[in-house]
Amino acid sequence: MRILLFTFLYILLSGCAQKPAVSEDMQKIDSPPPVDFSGTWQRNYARDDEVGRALQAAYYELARTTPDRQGAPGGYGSLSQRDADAVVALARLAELITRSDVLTIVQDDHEIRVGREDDFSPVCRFGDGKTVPVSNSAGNEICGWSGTDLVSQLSLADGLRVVHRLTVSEDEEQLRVITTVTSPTSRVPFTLRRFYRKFDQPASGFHCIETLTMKRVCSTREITP
Amino acid sequence: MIRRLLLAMLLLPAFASAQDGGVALNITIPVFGTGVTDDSSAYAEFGVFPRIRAIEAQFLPFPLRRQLAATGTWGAVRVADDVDAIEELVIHGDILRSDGRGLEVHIRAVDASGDTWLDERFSAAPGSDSARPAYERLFADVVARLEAARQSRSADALARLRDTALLRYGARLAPSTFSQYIETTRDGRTTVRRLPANNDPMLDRIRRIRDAEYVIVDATDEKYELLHADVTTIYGVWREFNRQSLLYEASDERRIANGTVPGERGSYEALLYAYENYKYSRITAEERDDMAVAFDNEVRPIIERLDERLEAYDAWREAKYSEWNRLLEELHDVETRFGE
Repeated sequence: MRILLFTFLYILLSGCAQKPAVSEDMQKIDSPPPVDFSGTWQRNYARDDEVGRALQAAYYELARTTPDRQGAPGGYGSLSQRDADAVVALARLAELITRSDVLTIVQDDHEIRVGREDDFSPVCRFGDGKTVPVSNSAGNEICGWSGTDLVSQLSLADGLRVVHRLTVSEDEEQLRVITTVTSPTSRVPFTLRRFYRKFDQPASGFHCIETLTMKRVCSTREITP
Repeated sequence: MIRRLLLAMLLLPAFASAQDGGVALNITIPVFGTGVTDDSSAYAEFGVFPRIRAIEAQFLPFPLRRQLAATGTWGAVRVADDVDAIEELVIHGDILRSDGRGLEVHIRAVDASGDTWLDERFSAAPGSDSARPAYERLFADVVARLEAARQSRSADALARLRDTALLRYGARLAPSTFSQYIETTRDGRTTVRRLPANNDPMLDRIRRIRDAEYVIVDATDEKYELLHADVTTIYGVWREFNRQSLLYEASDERRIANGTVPGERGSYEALLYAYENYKYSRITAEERDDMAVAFDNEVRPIIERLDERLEAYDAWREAKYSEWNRLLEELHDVETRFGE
């Protein structure tokens, strides 16, 4: 009976985990966006989650929701190698995705684009009072608002999902990005928090534009294309 | 002073107008329709940058004009931003699709009497011959179809079109004099009721005004040609990049569809494979966006110079039209009173 109860709870929890992080309601938006994320943000390592600790927390959650042979919540000893490996895989991916030291966010009335180093730029586009999904043959991105938090959900092959939640502090000087990676192959998600400080990039003294046949063209004067 | 000059131009004896006696019809090609709204959301909806489509709409009439002129069977072929242009033959174009996969344009050619010569969609795939881009092949088809349409009409019918165009032009500037010669039905077809005398002084004036306008248009056109040459190279690079980018995207899609996922299901390798497939597709799309911006950065100054010329010509034409309209109506009034 206990086993049945835990099995039921497990199915329920798994179902909850697969609920979209960005609901239909969250995709509705009044223009302009409620928060200004634009600017250059530098990683604040002092506040970042340490991956090892986040992994410990995931193990703990896994152990807590793993029934032992009698059907009671088990300890670390009840974890299978398969479960542990699945969480480690999520952790490695989360670490890779969140490794950028600098985020360059460009925001206007039509979109918010989060530029990262060595990776694509998650984008949140707006049109007709709601956000517009971005997709290609390998997956799709949707975004929305949870209060003043911007939530971006990337859905990939085999149920892999990456959710970023961006929160700006009231003084607009700090940015927190919570990244959660989930997969049907792991019973628990993996979450990492990264913190950033706004900084002004020093002016180089050159104004540059990209062109097609001359590549980058720079001048000490303002260039109006 | 300007008024005196204009009046002198109207009253001086006429020079023979160009191509008298021939049936080489003059053609005007208005700037093409873009097929998208100016709204930047068009990009999300159609995958089209409105700014770039606007550049293409201004650029594409020129290779069409060049090909028409090269046949030697047409009169003057001019590009104008005047969609209401009155000419012996007007060729309207609307861009339906223009990307790395090819070009599709709707072409409608209507003569001065309102008769439609051509109303068709033309398309061309990029092909492998970069020396002969898609638009060149597409316009070769258009030119061939127009030539066939021209040959199917008699020399008399073509000559009548020249009269019709001149009288319509006259009716726009001096309606009191020229409206009596033509009749336009509700469906836009114009017929010539009767012709003015060949030595009619008002007709002579209209010819001279139109020739003067042609001189200005042709002078502007020469500038366009130089600007067009600048854009051609950049546009070629842009189209080739777009083509390569879409080819890469298609091969990437095939690889994803047919590829074997590395590692066990749920392993880091399998997760990374799923993530990187998405990542590189997005980076390809981002590079295409960056190239679109780079194209716009490079072409925009040229197009803006072109726009300035167009605006200057438009301003000139508007001012002169109203001035000529007033002078011609005054002359008509004076001459009619003398006649009485």
